[in-house]
Amino acid sequence: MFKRDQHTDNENVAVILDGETTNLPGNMSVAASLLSEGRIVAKISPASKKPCSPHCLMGVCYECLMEIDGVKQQACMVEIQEGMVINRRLGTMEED
Amino acid sequence: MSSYYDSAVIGAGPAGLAAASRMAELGLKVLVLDEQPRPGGQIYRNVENASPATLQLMGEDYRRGLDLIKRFNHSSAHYESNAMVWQTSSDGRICYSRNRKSREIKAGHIVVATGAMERPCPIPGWNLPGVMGAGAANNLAKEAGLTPSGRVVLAGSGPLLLLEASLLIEKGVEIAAILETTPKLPSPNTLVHLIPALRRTDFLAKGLKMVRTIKKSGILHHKAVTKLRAVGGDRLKRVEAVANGKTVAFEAELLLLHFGVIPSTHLFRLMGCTMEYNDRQRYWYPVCDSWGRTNHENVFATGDGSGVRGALAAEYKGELAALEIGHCCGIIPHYERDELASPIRAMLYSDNLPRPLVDEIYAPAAGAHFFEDETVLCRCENVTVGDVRKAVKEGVRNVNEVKIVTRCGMGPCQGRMCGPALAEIVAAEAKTEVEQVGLLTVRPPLKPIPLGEVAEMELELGSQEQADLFKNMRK
Amino acid sequence: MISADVIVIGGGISGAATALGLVKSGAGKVLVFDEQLPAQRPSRGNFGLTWFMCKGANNPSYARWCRMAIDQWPDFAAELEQETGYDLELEWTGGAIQAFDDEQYQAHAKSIEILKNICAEVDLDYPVQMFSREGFADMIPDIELGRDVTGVMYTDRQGHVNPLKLLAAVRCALQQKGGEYFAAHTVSRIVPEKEGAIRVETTKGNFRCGRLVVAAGHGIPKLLAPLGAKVPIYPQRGQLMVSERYDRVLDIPFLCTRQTPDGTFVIGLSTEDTGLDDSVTMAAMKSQAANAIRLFPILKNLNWVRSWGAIRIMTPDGAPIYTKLTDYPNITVLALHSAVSLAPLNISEIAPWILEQQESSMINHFRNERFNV
Ligand SMILES: Cc1cc2nc3c(=O)[nH]c(=O)nc-3n(C[C@H](O)[C@H](O)[C@H](O)COP(=O)(O)OP(=O)(O)OC[C@H]3O[C@@H](n4cnc5c(N)ncnc54)[C@H](O)[C@@H]3O)c2cc1C
Ligand SMILES: Cc1cc2nc3c(=O)[nH]c(=O)nc-3n(C[C@H](O)[C@H](O)[C@H](O)COP(=O)(O)OP(=O)(O)OC[C@H]3O[C@@H](n4cnc5c(N)ncnc54)[C@H](O)[C@@H]3O)c2cc1C
Ligand code: FES
Repeated sequence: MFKRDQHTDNENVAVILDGETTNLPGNMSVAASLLSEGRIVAKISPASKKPCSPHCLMGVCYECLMEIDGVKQQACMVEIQEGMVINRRLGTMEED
Repeated sequence: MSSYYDSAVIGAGPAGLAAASRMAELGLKVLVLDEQPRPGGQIYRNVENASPATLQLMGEDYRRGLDLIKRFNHSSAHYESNAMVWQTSSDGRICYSRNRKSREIKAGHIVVATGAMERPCPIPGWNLPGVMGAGAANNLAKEAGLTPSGRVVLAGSGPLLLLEASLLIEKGVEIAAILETTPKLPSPNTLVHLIPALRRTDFLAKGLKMVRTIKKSGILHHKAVTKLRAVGGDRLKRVEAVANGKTVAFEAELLLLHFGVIPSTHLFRLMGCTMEYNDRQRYWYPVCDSWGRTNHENVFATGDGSGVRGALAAEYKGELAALEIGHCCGIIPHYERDELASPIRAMLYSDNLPRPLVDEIYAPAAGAHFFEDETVLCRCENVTVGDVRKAVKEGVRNVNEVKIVTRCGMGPCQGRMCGPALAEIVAAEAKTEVEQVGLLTVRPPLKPIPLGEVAEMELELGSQEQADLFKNMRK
Repeated sequence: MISADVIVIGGGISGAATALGLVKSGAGKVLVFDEQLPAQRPSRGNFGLTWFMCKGANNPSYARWCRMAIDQWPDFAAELEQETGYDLELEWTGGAIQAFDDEQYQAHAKSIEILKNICAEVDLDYPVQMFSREGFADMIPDIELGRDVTGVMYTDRQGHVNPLKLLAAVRCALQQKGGEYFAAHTVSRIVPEKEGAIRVETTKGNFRCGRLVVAAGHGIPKLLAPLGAKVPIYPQRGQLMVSERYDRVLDIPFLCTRQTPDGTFVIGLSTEDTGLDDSVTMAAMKSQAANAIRLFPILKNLNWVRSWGAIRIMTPDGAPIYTKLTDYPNITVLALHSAVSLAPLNISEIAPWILEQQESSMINHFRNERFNV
């Protein structure tokens, strides 16, 4: 859904995403980093049980809430860091 | 770190940066808190790290942020990045969270410069993955150098929608259609506002260039569309609308919505600032005087949060608040304050000349957004428009009471995404005005923080009676 | 002027449930007036416990009254749910109060003894017991008790409910049965007229009725003063916090921490002498959060989402005031704490008593006259 512009050269960082070590572009928010890799689903809504993706990217909508280092946080407001443990708890949902 | 400041500025966008720089330059002890990792606010997001290509594409309107931040960095204002303010009160106390720790500080004056947000407008399917705010795409470009890669539809109304469209066109993004809900013919009032706007040829030229870029691209551009909807299962597949009386549909991977910008008012409401309703623009804003002072002597509203006027006006308003606070702190006499303010007021005036025209063209029409019963209104709690209508049918007349019956507005976003439409729906159902159905009450925390962080936070100011859990049980 | 058989002032849980009871008891045309005022929202801001435990230690009549209410709760809820389709989220899983050290443990144990004796005075049992830390841990296997917890006072004969759903359902049932609910209507004045009629003046016109129920919480003094009457109620603030949703791990409600079926934790509750000020204070937030984490350490990393203050309606002895005014016996006043727990009685006892369909020797214990005002 998004691609990185050619002129950006953000170094990758290794995080543990949903239990698996994953390399993602650094120097941006967790939400932006995931979006840039086509991982658009941020969480399963606890109310509707349906997948949600970031909507505002400025800390308003809370659609990007995910567990980051043990606490549910807005992924668009947290910078991605080497070694972060990120859990989206997507359950059986397949990501394309 | 100190725990008392002459002035605490919340928000480091153009308004906050200008206010803080000026106050620090006057010799005040200033603290700036912003939840973003870098200064700049929404418009100048990440401008310090912007690549030459991004600077080139975004133009002078973006580059200006560099000067502002340079001035700010040079000043003695103390800046805390990644500092999320979650509680403020009109007695000057502020609690904020940073690096997973919360602390409380006190300030003689509070300058609220928390800016604006896109007007959330629930259309069917707006909560599908793949539907975003147009501002979100803009933020991703600035922050991370991301560009939409599949087919994109832009829909809604307002100059920022067209601005985003023209930026994406210049980047070569594949745009399936632009679907404007703006009426084809502006209202007769527009003419009245055209005359002052003509005095700002620079502004009009920018607007025309934008429109030309869109025209030249040949992209399908419908106006006055209705019945906008996003369709898909687990993610967006198609965007539908009615244009010229016919249903149109576009396959798309990304739908960017934009329905104008409204002030972010949570912080003002939390502090008990008197709010007023702008009937034309259909948003709430804090009542303040020409310096930005709210009903609270020491609380100032500035920038787009005090009424949407754009980035330059935000800067000027920040300066004015700073001058008045400088005066209140006994640093400058009132005549110097006024003298310094005079050229700023002139710039503010000139900047504002075209605004009424733009506001008139893009004024949100009451009830024009057709809210359908099945549409999810509150995304956090999965409450539909129909659920709210049912509550009103059962006699409820106030948004807070609707919230209690339906859970609309109770989730983590605390009504930021559903609040404006909720009020429109309740007012329409109850056949009354938006002003009459109230505003959702805002309580701490402004944004969620872990319970452990509250439990461990240091309260530096005053302590209170310990809670006695068994007081009533002993009766 | 619109006339009704009964008018109820106040659409909180007491007023709404009484109005429903009145309609069910065949009172005829019943109207409810309700204004949503900031300091008068205990029915929207309470903890949702349907409890009898610890109540009535100074008053056997109150202890019995509470038990009666609690015993009626499951049927009351089932009927309401069936009538309205609302899910009240009632869980009849008991209720618990923790002890953080040996001293508290002993104090809890002693309070059980006292209440057992009190209840015996009115031929009532008091099915509450102390559990050791280990014993209770087995009852809540999915959540760990904090290190400091030494034991737990527990009964299995009570539960918790979603008080907002309760209020909505009662209001819905009322309207289904022909009662009329007027939100955003403030009653300005009660004016007794000739031959027992009562004029009720509101901001949106005047109404007339044969009987009046005043269930207006802290709005009561304003309404009674012109009639030369008063009830000795006083305000007491409680502050509550709510967390984000979490997996369901705790189905037994504790006095100051419970998890709702949808997964949020509700944490409270302070008892403060702050008049009608319903603000939230950081001191209370801090101590309540710390207390809850001390009870259940897993709460530490859970997000706090919202908080609020609400004002209790307290009486000098903690028991309800149900009273008919001496000079105007067709005006009934209801002023009470714990109105959620006691809600079933508004239908089974209070409404028939208001309509003089039945004498109730029990209700007489709760008259205003007991305070010699
Ligand atoms: C998504 C979006 C995109 C936009 N893009 C453009 C554009 O491309 N071009 C254009 O001309 N205009 C744009 N605008 C309008 C423009 O942002 C405003 O005119 C201008 O930024 C207003 O400046 P400000 O200082 O009032 O607020 P902002 O620039 O919005 O700054 C507010 C700051 O406050 C901070 N903040 C808010 N709440 C808290 C809190 N609780 N704790 C700590 N910090 C907090 C935010 O992080 C932010 O940095 C956009 C607006 C939005 C909402
Ligand atoms: C923090 C807290 C926790 C609590 N926890 C529990 C619990 O766990 N279990 C329990 O059983 N109880 C609990 N309670 C107590 C319970 O909430 C109250 O007893 C109950 O809400 C009282 O209801 P009410 O209908 O009598 O009064 P209210 O809820 O005050 O209702 C009165 C209504 O009348 C309206 N009104 C007033 N004046 C006028 C007027 N002139 N015209 C029109 N309308 C008017 C008011 O606006 C209001 O809507 C708690 C209370 C608090 C504050
Ligand atoms: S995307 Fe909206 S809060 Fe993060």
